[in-house]
Amino acid sequence: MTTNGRSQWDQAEDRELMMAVQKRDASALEALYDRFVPQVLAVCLRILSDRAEAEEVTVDVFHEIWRRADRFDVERAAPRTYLLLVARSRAIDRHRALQRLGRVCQLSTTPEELDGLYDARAKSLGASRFSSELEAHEVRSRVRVAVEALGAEQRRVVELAFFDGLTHSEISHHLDKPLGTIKTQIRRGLQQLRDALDRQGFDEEVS
Amino acid sequence: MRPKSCEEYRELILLGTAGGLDPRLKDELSDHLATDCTGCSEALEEATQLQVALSLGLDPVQPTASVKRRLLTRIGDSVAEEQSEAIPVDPVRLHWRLPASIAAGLALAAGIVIGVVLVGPAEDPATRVDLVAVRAERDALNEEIAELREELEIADEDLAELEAKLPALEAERALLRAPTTISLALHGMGDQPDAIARVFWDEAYSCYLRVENLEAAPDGAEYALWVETTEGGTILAGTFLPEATGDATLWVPLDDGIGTFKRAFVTLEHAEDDAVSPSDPSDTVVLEGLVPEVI
Repeated sequence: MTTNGRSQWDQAEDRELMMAVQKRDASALEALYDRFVPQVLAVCLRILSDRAEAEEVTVDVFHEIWRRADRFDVERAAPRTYLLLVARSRAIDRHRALQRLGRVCQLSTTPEELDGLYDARAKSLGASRFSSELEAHEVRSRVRVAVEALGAEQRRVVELAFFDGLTHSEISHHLDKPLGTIKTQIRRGLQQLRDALDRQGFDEEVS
Repeated sequence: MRPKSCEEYRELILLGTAGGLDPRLKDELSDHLATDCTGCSEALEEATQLQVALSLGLDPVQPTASVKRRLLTRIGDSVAEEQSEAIPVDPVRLHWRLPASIAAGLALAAGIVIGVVLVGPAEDPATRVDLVAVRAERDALNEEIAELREELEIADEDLAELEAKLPALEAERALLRAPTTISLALHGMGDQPDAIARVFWDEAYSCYLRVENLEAAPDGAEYALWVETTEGGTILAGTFLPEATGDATLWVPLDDGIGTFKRAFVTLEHAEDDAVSPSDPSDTVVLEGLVPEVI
């Protein structure tokens, strides 16, 4: 896992990296980590609201990619998709485990701090990476516009389900609303979100 | 229970996208996906994309440096484990293959949608561990272990040396702290006027000497501490050599009942004397101190 080994992957496609990981090339995994860890950690932090726990889950996620790389089909999905799905799933698992232990903590990183981190990141990037970061920033902006277009209630239930990992029954109890209403709000919210993203041609960017 | 229509299953998929689908419904949905329903499999892929979109709406967060370090350590451990396991990888696992929809359905049943990308190849040589790299890492680790063992042996030797010195140091400390201990200053004589020393002794005749600014003894020679008693006896307490800094210490238990001290002095004794005589100091006195009162 040398510096030379890492630099050879700078221009590689995500799928090439994943294929190299499948061939047990640790330097490729390191390159995947460098490329996607900010987004993986963002998902974990949003769900867990605790920096230390989020970082621990992030390590678990990339370790799982290493251990189970042979089960990933590069023809069927983008590595980024896989990583983010694993990240969300593992973070929710941890969130529930912490809930059982009564150890769910308060948000340790504010949105303003996250913005600051992003700005610092953008400044530190070279020209070649900066354009891809700009694209990622554009994606974030589009998703936010789509999410903010949802009604406040719909957004709340979608976030409770997606980021807090609550079951529909738990959301119903939490918001003191009938289960059917919660399901309807989630369904309609996601449909609106999907329609908004479809209009922006989001599919290609996701995969 | 009435069987659900595909439209109802697609609604379940959409609800499951946000998470929190009840386990019973997950089971039902995965059973349906296992039937290779193309439309519902496509709906699942769309739902997956929607999940990723929600994740991509978040601002990226930079990890602390320790995250990568921890990951690389874990990878190293995994490589070592893989090395210890049978290689190549279990052929059962290599041949494992499920239709996409079944895999996705099973994953959903487990509470995740990751299954949509978990379809393994029929046989992928990439799953074989790179033996050359693993062996190189093993050799490097073995070298590191050998170096650590050497360091450990040296540390053990140092520790044994210190432990051997401990009883004498404790006795010295007890002597220096005892209220009954008497001390006598010795002053440089002859060629060594800058030499200075102090000798301590107690009722049990434990004797401790501390010297500074003493010149190095010539080859084959050594310094000797003597005590003279009021009864007229001259007793050799012990011999010593100073450090390069001119410092020296000597701690010796003397025989009980040797009498009352009236003088202490240090001489330079030469090798040709073969052995320092117990009662015959040389004339080369370099340090001397007289007890002012009879103890």
